[in-house]
Amino acid sequence: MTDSKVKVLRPTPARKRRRRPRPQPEKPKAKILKALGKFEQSSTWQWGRLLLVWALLTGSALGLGWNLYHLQIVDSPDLVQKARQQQMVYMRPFVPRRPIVDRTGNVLATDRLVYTLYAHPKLFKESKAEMAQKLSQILERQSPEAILKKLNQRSTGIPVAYALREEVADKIVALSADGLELIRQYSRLYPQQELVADTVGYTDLEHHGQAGLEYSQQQRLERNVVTLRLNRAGNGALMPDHMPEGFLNFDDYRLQTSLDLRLQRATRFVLKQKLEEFEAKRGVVIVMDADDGAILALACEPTYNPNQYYKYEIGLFRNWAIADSYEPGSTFKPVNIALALEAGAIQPDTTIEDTGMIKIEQWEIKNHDFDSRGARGQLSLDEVLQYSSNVGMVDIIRRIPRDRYYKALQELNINQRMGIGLPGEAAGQLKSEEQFTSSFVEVATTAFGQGFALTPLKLAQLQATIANGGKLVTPHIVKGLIDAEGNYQWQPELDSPRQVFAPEHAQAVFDMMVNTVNSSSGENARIEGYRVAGKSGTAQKASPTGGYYSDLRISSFVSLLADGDRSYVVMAVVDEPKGNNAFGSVVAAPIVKSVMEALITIEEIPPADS
Amino acid sequence: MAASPRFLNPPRRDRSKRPGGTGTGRRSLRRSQPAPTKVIPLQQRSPQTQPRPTARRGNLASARNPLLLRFILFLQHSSSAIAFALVGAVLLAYASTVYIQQQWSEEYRKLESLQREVRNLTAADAIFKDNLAQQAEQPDTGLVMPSPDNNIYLSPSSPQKTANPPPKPTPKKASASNLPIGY
Repeated sequence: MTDSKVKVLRPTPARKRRRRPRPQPEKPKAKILKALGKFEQSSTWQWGRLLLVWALLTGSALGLGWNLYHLQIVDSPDLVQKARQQQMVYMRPFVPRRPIVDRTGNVLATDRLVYTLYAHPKLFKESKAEMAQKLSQILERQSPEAILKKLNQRSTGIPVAYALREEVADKIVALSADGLELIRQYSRLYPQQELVADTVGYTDLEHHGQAGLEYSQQQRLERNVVTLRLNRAGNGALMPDHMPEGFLNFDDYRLQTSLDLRLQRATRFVLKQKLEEFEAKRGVVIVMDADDGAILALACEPTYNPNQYYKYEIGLFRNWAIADSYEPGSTFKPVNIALALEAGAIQPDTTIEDTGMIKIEQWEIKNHDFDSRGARGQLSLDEVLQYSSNVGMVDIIRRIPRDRYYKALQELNINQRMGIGLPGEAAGQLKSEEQFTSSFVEVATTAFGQGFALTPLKLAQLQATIANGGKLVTPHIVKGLIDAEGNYQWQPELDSPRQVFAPEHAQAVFDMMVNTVNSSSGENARIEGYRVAGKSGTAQKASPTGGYYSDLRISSFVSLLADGDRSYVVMAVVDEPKGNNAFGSVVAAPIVKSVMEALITIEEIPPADS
Repeated sequence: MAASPRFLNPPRRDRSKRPGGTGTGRRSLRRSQPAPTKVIPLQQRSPQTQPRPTARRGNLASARNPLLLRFILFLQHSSSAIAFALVGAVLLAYASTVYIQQQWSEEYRKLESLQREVRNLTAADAIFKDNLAQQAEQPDTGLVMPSPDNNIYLSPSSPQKTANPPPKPTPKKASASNLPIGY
């Protein structure tokens, strides 16, 4: 090959001369180069090359265009959908319900995150038994066998565990196993358990309030939850470019109640003890600041644990201190005396003839102790309250014109709701004006607290008028929404207190009640060094068929305490206590006394002497 | 117009150069040398080619042209500089959007974990309180209900007492004498 090429090259000496002498083996190369050069210079090649490059560029441009057309127009909807699926995250940022706190900031209800674990066995990369083993190590309460049994149910969507705490969920995420899914949920935590269940209420699985403040203050407790559509980067990080401004700046408001956790605890503890002692059906204690109507403690027994509300009877979710009305009995007598003083029918020094028994129409009305004590004769107003004389009360109320007395009762809003801000509040029942004024027996029974009904809280409100100088205040439990600095961002609008009794009349009745406590009947409520006013009540229970049960009663006791410009009402109502001596002064008075002692300590009230 | 011959020449040179290889380079250069020498006096020739009467105007035009040219050149340079700067800024802005988003998601994660801590601490605090209170209710703990019997009342000191000046401490003359006076 090389030889033949050499032969061809030699006959061209002229060219050889022009070039520098080169070693022999390079000669064939040069010839090829020359041929190429010639070809390069030929117009065919020049044009061809141009065409080739043009065709290449045009072709690739067309190809790209075609591809672009396909991507942008033909396949676009599918691709957009795919991209959305991969990149878009529908995020509901964790916006918890606002916490509920007591007046000192103790948390009564707060939010936490919980997870539900779902398994999809068809996506498992390992055997079900292995997965069950791994899961049972994390979910300590479930055995591997139990989990395996669940996993064998079906191929996808098996709920394995509910209400997992965040730490547990983290461990499951750390497994990074295929086929496990954690669904985030919000859950309400009531750290005080049943302590404030009557007022705070509970939320259901959907996080909606179902009772108490959780229900009535739903709008104030819920923050607006916006669902955001966010892009996600390749590494899963969220991209904030579609984020509305300030979406993270949710407020730090808390719903503050007027409850005092210490007092509430003491109240419930005492009530529970006494209910057990007297095997009573139920009981309630209300502690109220008589000056502004703020409820410091409200305990109903029996109650429920709002963290496990589903284990309890539905009837317990009703707060019967505000939802059920009862006939108050003798605890209403001080209010009646105040009404009579206000009407000018009696004076504080009026004396009443107590015959022990009177007959009105065909009805006999007698004192509770008539059988043992008979007629008591002339009684001062103090003594009417001390002996809880029914006949004396009838005589006092008899001096007020019937229609005026009825109007005065209406003025006290007995048959209206107070607007305490809790769900299910019942209005009291008062007979119609015609019925009331047509028969004196109606007036007479009302004189000693029977024949009409009101809720325990309504009675506490009426008693407060005696402690606070005659003002009808609105009982309330919500103080408002406070921010982290303790400033109120919202406060409920309450009716301004209305003067229903003259201060001197209220004071006169208060003094009578102090004497009642200082007499022998009020021994169980007396607190050394303090001017505690009080009145017991033992009412017969009205039967739904009409008339009264002879053996069922409601024992109650109300105590008032005033110290300068502060005044308080403590009231206990015990439903169906057992035993012959289950009177208000025996059952309810000790409860009130213990609660009052706790109140004195917590509110730092000095003794009256000092 | 005047520049055209200059630009036409080099391609010719190139073509003759290629097939000849490196050796022919010098020769062809030498051959084409006369052409640039003709072209060099271009500036001198232009006034020559121009008719005399228009010489002034020509001068003015030539003076004006470089100015325009210079202005256009300046425009070109400055616009390309601006373009470069803009491209740089765009790249920077783009990079920062990516970076800021990354930072944001990092910070968001931090916020979430802080919120979680707040939740856990709030709940734990309240649960501890409840547990303690429940333990305190057990009779064997020896704790009692709050009661005025256990309160300590301090009556405010009467103004008379404070009005009286405290008794002046008697100067401790006797004791002073007991003290060593010197060192």
